[in-house]
Amino acid sequence: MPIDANSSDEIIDEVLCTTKTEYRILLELKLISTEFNTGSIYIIPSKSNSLLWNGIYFIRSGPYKDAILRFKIQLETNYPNQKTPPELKLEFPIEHPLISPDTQIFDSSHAFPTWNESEHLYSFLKYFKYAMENFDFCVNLPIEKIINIEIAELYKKDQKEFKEKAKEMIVKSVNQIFIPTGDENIFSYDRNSIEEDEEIHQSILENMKTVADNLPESFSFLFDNRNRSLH
Amino acid sequence: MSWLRSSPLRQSFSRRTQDISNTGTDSKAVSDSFCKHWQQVSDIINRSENRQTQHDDVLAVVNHLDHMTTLLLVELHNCNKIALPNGQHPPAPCLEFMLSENLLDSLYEWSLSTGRYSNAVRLEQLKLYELLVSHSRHQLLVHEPFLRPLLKLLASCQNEIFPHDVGKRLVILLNQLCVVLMQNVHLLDLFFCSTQQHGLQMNGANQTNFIIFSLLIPYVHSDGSIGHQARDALLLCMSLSQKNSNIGTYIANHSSMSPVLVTGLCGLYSSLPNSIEVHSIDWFRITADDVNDMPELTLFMNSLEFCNAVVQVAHLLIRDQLLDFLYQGFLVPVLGPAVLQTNVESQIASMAYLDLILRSVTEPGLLKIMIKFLLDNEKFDGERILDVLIERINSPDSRLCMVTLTLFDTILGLHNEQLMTELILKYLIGARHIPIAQKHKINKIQAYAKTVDYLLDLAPEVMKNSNMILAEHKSLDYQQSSSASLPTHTNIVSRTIGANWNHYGLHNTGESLYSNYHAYLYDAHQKIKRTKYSCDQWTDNYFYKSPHKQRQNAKMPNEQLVQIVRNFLSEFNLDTITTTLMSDEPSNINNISNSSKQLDMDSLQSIGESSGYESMKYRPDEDEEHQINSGNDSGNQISTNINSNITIVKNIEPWRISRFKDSQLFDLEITEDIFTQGTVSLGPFLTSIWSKLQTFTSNSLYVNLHLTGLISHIALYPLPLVHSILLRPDIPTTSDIPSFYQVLKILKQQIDAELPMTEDSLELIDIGRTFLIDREFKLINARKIALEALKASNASQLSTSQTNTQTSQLQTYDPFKRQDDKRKSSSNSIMSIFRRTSTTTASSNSNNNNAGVIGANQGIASLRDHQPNSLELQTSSINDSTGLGANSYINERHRDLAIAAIILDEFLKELSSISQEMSIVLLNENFKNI
Repeated sequence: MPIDANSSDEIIDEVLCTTKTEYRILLELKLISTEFNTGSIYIIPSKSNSLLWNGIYFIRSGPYKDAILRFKIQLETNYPNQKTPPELKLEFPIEHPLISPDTQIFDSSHAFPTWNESEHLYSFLKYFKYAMENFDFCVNLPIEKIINIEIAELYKKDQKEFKEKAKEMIVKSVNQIFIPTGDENIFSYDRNSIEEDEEIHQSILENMKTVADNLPESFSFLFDNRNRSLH
Repeated sequence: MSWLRSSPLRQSFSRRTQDISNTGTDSKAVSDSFCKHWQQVSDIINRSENRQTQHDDVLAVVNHLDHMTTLLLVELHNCNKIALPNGQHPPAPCLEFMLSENLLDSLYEWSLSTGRYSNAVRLEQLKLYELLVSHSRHQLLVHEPFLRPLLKLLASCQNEIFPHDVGKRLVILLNQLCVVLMQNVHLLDLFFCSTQQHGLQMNGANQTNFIIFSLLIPYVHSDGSIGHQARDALLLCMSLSQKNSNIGTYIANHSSMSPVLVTGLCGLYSSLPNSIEVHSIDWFRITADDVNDMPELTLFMNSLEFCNAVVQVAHLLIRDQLLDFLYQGFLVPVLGPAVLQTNVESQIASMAYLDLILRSVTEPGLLKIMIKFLLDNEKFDGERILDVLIERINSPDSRLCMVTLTLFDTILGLHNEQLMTELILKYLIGARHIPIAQKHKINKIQAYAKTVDYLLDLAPEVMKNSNMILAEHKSLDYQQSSSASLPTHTNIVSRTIGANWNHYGLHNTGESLYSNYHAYLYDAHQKIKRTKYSCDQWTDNYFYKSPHKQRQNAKMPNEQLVQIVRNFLSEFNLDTITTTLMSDEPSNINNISNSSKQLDMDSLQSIGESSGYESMKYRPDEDEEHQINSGNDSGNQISTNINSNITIVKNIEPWRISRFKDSQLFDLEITEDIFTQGTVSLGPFLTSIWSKLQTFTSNSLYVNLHLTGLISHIALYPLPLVHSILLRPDIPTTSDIPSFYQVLKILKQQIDAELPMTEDSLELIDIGRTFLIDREFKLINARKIALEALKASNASQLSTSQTNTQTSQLQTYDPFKRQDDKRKSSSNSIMSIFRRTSTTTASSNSNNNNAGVIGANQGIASLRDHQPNSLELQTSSINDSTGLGANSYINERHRDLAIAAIILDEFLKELSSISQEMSIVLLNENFKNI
């Protein structure tokens, strides 16, 4: 007796709709925190709006290895029933075949031409990560999918110059994460405290050595303190 | 005894002190006066050697002793004020005089000759000792002139029956001694094995004896403050037994402690009323206030709490002995037959008592024997108490039904693995109630989120309409009150998250929790958290597990197995799959099923859905074990089992691969279970609950409140197997009874048919809603008033009662500790607001060992009596307000239906909030321990 559960039209209560969206968001966040348990991408919803997420991405392989990118994801109010994938916008103008040089919005239309409620944000983010780390994959996509043709061409034609350019951007991106922003729930870093405090500095180095392979399963800044982060 | 004499304290007494100039004059006068009084007492004592003690003599001695006591008090008071820098004690001439002249001993010897006045003299002596023990900073117990007469006096008290005042003094003194001993455990031996060492004449001269303890035992069941103090003191002795195993052995082997406690408990239980006079129709359990209102019950509960406390603090030997006695002497011969009685009134009473006992017992040891009692197969003519209780869920008597439902609520609240297994899990564990092809869904937590829509859709139509009207009103109000700007969608999101999330969505306390979805979510969050915390301690997480692990050795013919695998895979229309099975070795048979288990349903389905360029094939030659790597750039998902000859290679986009999906269950049932589908029992407990739910529209409101509460309570357990029948409409069941959703659907149809969407129905709903909200507020207010009264009485009690200082010594003794947690929870819950009786359910539980509460309860009791709680009263008011004939059956039926519709609607909200919360809490939970 399989049951049709598509009766969402019946729900008149607006609060309930909101609640459903919120629970879906919680679910997505929890999935992300377990799927990305070895670090690299971290997500925290903005303090004032649960549909706007702040993210940070530590690139660990590919041509942009060692870059650190802050980004924002905007969900629509009817999430997960939105028709297109969420909007992912980078805070730093990194050059990439799938990132618009003007808006810095990541184009995911190759992997996610549409969006529906069976899609999960962790796979969206995994696609983002995959694209960022695999230039070969990106430059070989159909030409209409490539947004930043210039960088794609450069990558294909002049590896040396591309590498230099990439190096420059990596350094810039790392410097940028120290610039404070307004939102309280954002990943920001205080250069002084990191560089001056021997202990923190050491522990960061220690952490970096071990972080990649053995972060605990429960590593999550989100869910063990769910109430706090959603306040 | 040499250590006694070499005590540094003794030196301070024998040494003449020089540095006393500051208090010199005062203390000189005091000590002179003290000596004078003693001189006169001494004269009387000497005189009495020659003649019978006269009334006047005793009177004079008592008089003088009174003065001496006062003087001693003054002196001790002065001494205690001064702190000498070198840690020495200031001089106390009166005390020294008393000790050096062996005054206490003379007094005792004389008291033996006082004949019929002996009790009066004894009373004076007890007072004197008590004063000295409690007020002196000196360790008087190490001084023989003090200790010896004290022990003589105590010994003389054995086997005597005293008038109340003497008994009271004795208990106070013993209590004081215990306090001192707690602080100075090394002094314990002075009171222990005292017979020989002190050469005293006692009954059974050579027997080991801990005199303080044996003197206290007769008072253990006493009423009032004397009983309390005796029990306090005994508990101190029990705690001592943990520090000194001699005491433990003595109490266990030589004292009558355990039998006395248990027989007392039996006696007190027997004196409880055989039927409980119920004032209100919604009565369902004995509250702390009821306990205080019924003197018999107060006594019984005191005694039970005491047992609980003994189990908590006592030496292992004592604890085990007491538990054994309790089981063999109270539970089996007394409580069991009481529960098994046939008379409904007695059943109600005994179930309520059982519920009270289960709620009050906090010690794991005691709980364990309670559970053993519920599950015992042998002691009650082959009947199990638990089974008998289950039968009573469907009793035609609504009071018995309510008490039973409440009792099961208490049982579920214990979060005990064994009980849950017996009640529910035992019947679900192989998931035989679910068709094979559906079993893989059980652990899929994400599907929980969809339950919400389904459940809420089951609300009666009239409720949907009524809610819509209500929502419109509310949004109108909202717009009017904040006319400045219409809230945008984003605003609403942050509003619910920021401001309301943790507060039931209530800003002002005057609001009802009725139909407040946020409140349900919050409630579910808290309760699930708590339940999960308990269940995390269980031996298993009871996620659905493939039965193959348990049937490794089962052999099946190869061909049959292969066929089953084929059939199974073909169910999912996976035409692209080509199967090659290496099945020539018999030992590989089970591996085949193991590896098919590794096939992941989600991946399979996504293959089916997506374009189809993925392929799936077996690579028979692959022999190593591969781990799935989510970052695998090649996009090949390789899943292999150790020693298995099957490898599945799937070509999937790398970003679609989840870390966890590889270990999800893909189940294949290869046993005779296939043929038993459709006749699977969910066990008597769930069957009874379902059948009670089927009569929902004709049950009384209060039965329905408890019934729905119990079902929600079951759903709160973080057990996907249990949810498979409660929170998973997407999983069909093949049990021998209608599924939960079928029952709910029938209820909806029934209500929709009998209460069609008309103006009249909407009005009835409105009236019913008002009634429920009124009831909620009445209960809240009753609680408020009661709590205030309680607070006031506690404050006055604190200022008057001395015993509080003594009870504070016993920090570990905290009866109703578990109840305390419950109290908080009950004040947080929503549906339970309806469920609560008018009494202050658990609010005074923690104070319930204080005698003074009784006074405050007069107020509560009268409040309860005045509460217009009975449905009759409400009925008439409902009928009056609708202007319909009061006796019309149809109207009554409609009114009941309206209330049932409201409760059903709320119940569905409660359940759906639980499933929403569960979808987050349990997500990936089954991978935690892998």
